[in-house]
Amino acid sequence: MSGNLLRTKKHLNAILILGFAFAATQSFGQDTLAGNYPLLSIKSGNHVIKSVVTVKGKLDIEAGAKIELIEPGVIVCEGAVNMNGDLNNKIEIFGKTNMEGMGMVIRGLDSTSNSNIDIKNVTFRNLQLPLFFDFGWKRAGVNISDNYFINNIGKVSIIQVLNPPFNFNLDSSYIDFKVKNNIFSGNNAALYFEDLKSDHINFEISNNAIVGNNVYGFKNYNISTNVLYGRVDQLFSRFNPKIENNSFAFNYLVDNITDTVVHLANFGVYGTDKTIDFKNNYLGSTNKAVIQKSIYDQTLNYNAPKVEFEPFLSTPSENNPSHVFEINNLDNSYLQDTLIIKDPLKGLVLKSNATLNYAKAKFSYTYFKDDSSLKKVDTTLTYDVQPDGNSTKLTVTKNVNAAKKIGYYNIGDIIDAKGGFVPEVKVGYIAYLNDLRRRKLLAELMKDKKKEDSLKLPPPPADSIKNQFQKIEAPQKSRFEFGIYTGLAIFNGTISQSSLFSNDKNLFNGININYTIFSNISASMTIASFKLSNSDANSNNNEQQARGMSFVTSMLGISTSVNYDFVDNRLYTKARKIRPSIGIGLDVNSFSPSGIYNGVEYKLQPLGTGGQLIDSTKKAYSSLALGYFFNFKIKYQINRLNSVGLHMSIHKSMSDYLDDVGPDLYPSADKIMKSKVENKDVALYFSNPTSRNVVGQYRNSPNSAKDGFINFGIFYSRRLFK
Amino acid sequence: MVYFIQEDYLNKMKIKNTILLIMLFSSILVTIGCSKTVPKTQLEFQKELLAGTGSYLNTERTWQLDSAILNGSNVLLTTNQKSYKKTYTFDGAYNDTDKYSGKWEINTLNKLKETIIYKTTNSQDSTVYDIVLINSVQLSLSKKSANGQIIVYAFKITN
Repeated sequence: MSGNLLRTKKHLNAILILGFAFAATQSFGQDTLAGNYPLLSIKSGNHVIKSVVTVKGKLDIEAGAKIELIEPGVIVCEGAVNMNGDLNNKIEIFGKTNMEGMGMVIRGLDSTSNSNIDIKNVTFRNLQLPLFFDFGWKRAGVNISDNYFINNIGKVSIIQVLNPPFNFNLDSSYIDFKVKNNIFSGNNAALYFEDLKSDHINFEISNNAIVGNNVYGFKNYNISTNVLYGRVDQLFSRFNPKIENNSFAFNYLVDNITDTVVHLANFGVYGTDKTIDFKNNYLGSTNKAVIQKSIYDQTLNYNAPKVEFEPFLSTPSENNPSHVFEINNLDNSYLQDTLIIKDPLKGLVLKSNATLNYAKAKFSYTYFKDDSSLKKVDTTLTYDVQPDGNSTKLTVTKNVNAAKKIGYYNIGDIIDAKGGFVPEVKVGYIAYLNDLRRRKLLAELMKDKKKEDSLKLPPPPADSIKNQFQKIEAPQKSRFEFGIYTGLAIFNGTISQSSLFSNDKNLFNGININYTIFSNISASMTIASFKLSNSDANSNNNEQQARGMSFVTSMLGISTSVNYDFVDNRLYTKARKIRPSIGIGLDVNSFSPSGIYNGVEYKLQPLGTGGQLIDSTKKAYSSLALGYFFNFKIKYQINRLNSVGLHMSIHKSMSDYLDDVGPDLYPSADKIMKSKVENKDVALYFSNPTSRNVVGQYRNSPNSAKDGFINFGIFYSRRLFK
Repeated sequence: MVYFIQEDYLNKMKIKNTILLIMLFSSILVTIGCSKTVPKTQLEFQKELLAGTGSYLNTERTWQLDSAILNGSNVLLTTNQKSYKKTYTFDGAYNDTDKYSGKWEINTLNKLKETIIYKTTNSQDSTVYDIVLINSVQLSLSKKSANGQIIVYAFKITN
């Protein structure tokens, strides 16, 4: 009994877990739709479409459904469509950013004679072609009302309606096609109707707000580069389109190539008819001449019908979807849409067709940082709102852009009294786009110029001292470069011969820190350890051979130098990987010459081989020597951080005793014998290794050369920080 | 187009390889190019102190008698005796102011063997000295005479 109870409990638990999992999926999961459906009902919630979804029969979409279309996602409807969202629970059909899906296609003849297309309270955004009535489509009626068509990226159409396949003479049926109370805003394309005047479609386009759209085209303003356009032919006589009580504002033709505003672009018409009624619409202005500029008709093309737009509305109707239709200065004077904004505005007056709610509105100001670059600054302004019926005064309480560069204002997230969407408002955007274009051209020119420069070899010489001392904006730590040096050291002085490479060559090792000061100037410090040695026996000078001296000394030196870099330190281009530099500097070296006597090495300085210790007027030389040097480097930049290269530096020492042989007379052997020098034999030997009769001669004869040395070799260096 | 890209790539690779080769050779040169000092043996060094290295103007050394000690006592030298000189040449030849000539050898450290060659009879007479002291200016040689007495000759350089 108890076992049965336990089992039942287990089953109940499993059912509960499954139930939770199902609920979670329903709440947070998303449903991917694909393929063909005889009928399709899309419930409230998230859905994804990544391919073609064809619905042969009725498509039903519930309020609250959110359908994401990912390229090449499209919904093809071959039957009735019923999309009824609620005012506060809309249906959303939207494209995925950067992979925007197509939209909805209405096609084919529906076998059900009374099937309708009913699209209400739907948001279409970020799509390529939200609604496309394909050629040969036919339904009993179409009602597109209370929808938002916003920020759709496609440049073909927002709504495109091609002709249905009616028999011209025999078929008396027709389609009622209503487009009412919709908002079209922030789109890149137009509403296109193949035949606005038709015997088989009765168009009613009314009470829409068509605001702030940019129709993409080319520089020339024509029929199709208007936010609403179509044909009006004499061939048809049955239904004249009813286009009234719409509000057209801030709609422009934008050039495809330059992304700049070309022209106002409200309505375009063509065909054989003489006229078309376009009365009782608000057309963005109260000035007839301005309105006329936004219409493409007989005025511009003699073969096109004349658009009868008078009387026009001076303000949009309150029944239209809420929107701002006019922007004024604080003194209520008209604010030109071409205004160049360099000085910050103190405020704006926005005129709307209904009372708007600015409580959550975002008032932003975007401006360029400098005169020519693409760098821009986005700022959010603080402001006061003073509503006055349908006119609202926004006073900016904190100004920005002290640099007075071109910018524009954007006021978004405005809502209407019912919480509905209100198109955003832009001020100074036309001038901003023009300046943006100028800057893009400049940037492209600069890019081309740099590319051209980098191909020129060898690098051109710097044109002025000023250029070489240009400041570097790079962070301090990125200016440091650390290097490891190795190579050979060759002594060049008293005990050496004129042919440099016949002298002894010893290993040279060093570490180096380089610091970039200006564009072409850098400073470096090197700590080096090396040996110097040589012997008169190597000399091809008989006198030196007869002298028979030799030495070896360990050197430890610190040197600092200032270098001129032939290639600008700020540049890193693949064409300038080889970077030569020259420099001068000072060094200090510790040295201690020694020699071998009877198989034993002796330090020579304490022996006073020049007689320093037998003459009270003399003292042993210092084992620290100051010096100066010239250096040359050729660096090969492997990449931005690493480089290898060849180096050479020529050093001259202030001391003549690097080799222990200075300008001293040969000391008397007797005096050395009588001196307090510990190793007299050794001192005697090194004072005159060949025991020549050298009375009155100097030890550094015959060449009396100043001591120095040359270091050369290879190096590897690296910037530790970017 | 592909050909040019390929050619450009190959050129770049060529430059890179050349630079790497230069670096490699340089590092090899650095490693093997350093001078190496081989110290002379004591024997060689003694020979050089005695007779010079053979380099220019250093082919022989002449030592003049300065003093003599017989069984630990100074011997009073005559002026004639004080002008006595021995000349050792780096190639092993020997002569002195008494008109003797011959050859010298140091086969063992501190053992100088002088061989007088009599030209007329072509006979030879060898003497082995102990080198008591030698430096670049002083030379002391000692010899045990036939009667068992030890005599030390001190020479100074006269080059």
